Amino acid sequence: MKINPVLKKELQINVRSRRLLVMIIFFNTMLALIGLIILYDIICSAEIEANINYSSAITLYQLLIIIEFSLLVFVVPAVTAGSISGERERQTLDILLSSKLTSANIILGKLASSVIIMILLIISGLPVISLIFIFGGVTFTDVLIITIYLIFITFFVGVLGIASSTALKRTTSASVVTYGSILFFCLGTLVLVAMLELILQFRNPEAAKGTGWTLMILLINPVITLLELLGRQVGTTTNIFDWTFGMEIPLFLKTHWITLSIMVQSIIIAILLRFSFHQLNPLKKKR
Amino acid sequence: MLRIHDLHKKYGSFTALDGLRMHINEGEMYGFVGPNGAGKTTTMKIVAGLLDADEGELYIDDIDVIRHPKRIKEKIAYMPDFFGVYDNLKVLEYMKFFASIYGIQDKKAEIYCQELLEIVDLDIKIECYVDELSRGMKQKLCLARCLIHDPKLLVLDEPASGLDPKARFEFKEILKRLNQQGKTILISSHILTELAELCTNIGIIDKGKLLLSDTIDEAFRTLNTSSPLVITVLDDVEKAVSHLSNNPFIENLSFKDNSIRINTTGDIHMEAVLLKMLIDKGILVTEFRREKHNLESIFLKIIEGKDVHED
Repeated sequence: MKINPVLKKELQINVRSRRLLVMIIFFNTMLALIGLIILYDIICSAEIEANINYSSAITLYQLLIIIEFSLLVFVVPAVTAGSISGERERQTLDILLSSKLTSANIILGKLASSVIIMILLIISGLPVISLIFIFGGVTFTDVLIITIYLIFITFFVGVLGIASSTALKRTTSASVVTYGSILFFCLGTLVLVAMLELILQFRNPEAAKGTGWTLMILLINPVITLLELLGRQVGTTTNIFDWTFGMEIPLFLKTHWITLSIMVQSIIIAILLRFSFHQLNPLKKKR
Repeated sequence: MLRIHDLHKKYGSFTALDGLRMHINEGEMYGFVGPNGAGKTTTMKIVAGLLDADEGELYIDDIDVIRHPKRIKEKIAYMPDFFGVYDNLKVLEYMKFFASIYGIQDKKAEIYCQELLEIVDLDIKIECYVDELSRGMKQKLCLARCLIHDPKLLVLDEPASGLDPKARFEFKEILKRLNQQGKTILISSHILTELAELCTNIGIIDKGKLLLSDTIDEAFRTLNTSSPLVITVLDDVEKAVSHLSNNPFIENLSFKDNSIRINTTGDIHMEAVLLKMLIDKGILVTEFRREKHNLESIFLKIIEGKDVHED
């Protein structure tokens, strides 16, 4: 099987670097620390009340996944934001571009290596996530689905990092833009929806509270998708939209939120990849 | 092998290439000389498919580079002036990475890469990490990397810059060997004297235009005829000066001690007549020669000549 040469080289370099070791230790320490603290709290409560609070166990699962998500969102840009700009700074990019490699080969190789490293992190964190199986309430399939979505988020954030890295010359600027974009996708979209709703209500105060269409902006928000997915897995009666803005949301959107959001996020990934391919191609100009 | 017609490139308001025309035949070692900002690197990057030209035509082996940039990737190799390194990658792994880009894999890649490393005398360093190599070794490794897909044209942008004399000599010898094996080489350098020893042809570029393009020998010959004639006499310099002053071919004359420098309008035949005249007049001539140019002086002369002409 022919492996992308850039992917092979990146993996070869990464497995030798101390950074990967530090990353795995940091990621799992944080995850384990928080997981064990919550577990300790559940056990202490059980000692006092003489029964185990299963809703706390569900909270443990949700918290662990949210922490894992936060850590990934924090770590992925550190890996991807320097992928192309780093080559530029090391002055190795021209060598790659003058070879037979296409800009797509380079970008996909870089992206795949980052995603593989993140999958390694996610898999290394599975024993901590498995703490939930002590109490039950969540099945193996649930963990598998969440893990797949976390990998998807890694891909999403990874492409954001690579697009910034391709467009900007310096790794520092690329990192800042990547973290800024993540902040926009995760929090900025919420602020945007709130602002739009306020404007709409200001213009037409007689209208019912929110029409719900502005919520479609949140389809690009991976946090909402993750929370909705978690909510459905653990069967919480209040879903994310009840506390978002208390708006009426079209039923179709509500039912198919996860599918639709993954589709929208996939389109964003495709657009960003296309942008990166174009940006890296030294012969962009059509003559 | 390489044909460039009316190549134009601008960076904002700065004109890097202004209608560049260039022609390199197969098997030539073409020295590309010019001051900083003359357009050497821009030309090389366009040839290597790393930069878009604004206008013009460029053919490598009769393939239109502008229209079919992918097709020329097999035919050329580009070596930038600075060798960037990857941490945590060994010499053989570095070579195998580039071999895999061209579809050479596994054991075949290993054997082939070792052969190439032997050519550049790096076969004893295959297990060393690339970032631990000296600058000279890194440049040699970069050259070995360039040879992986057996390109016909090597585009080397100041490959010897920053190397110590020993490394420069070794590098030069490798390039000579490659040229003898049939590789066409386009090489730029600021160390002009080295290009004179190394290259078969030379091109001088300034402000995006090629001011001279010829074989090294022809370039020297052309410029030497416009050089001052140096005549040293044993004694009686005043007598020699008075005879020379009357000659209609002599434009100006100066002398110091027993040495006379004259600028003439004549050719090699006139030189012979002038020497005969001095001997016939009983003047004892100990030296009669054109002032030799080295590549540095050719370079400066052409650049300055162009400036004067433009002014």
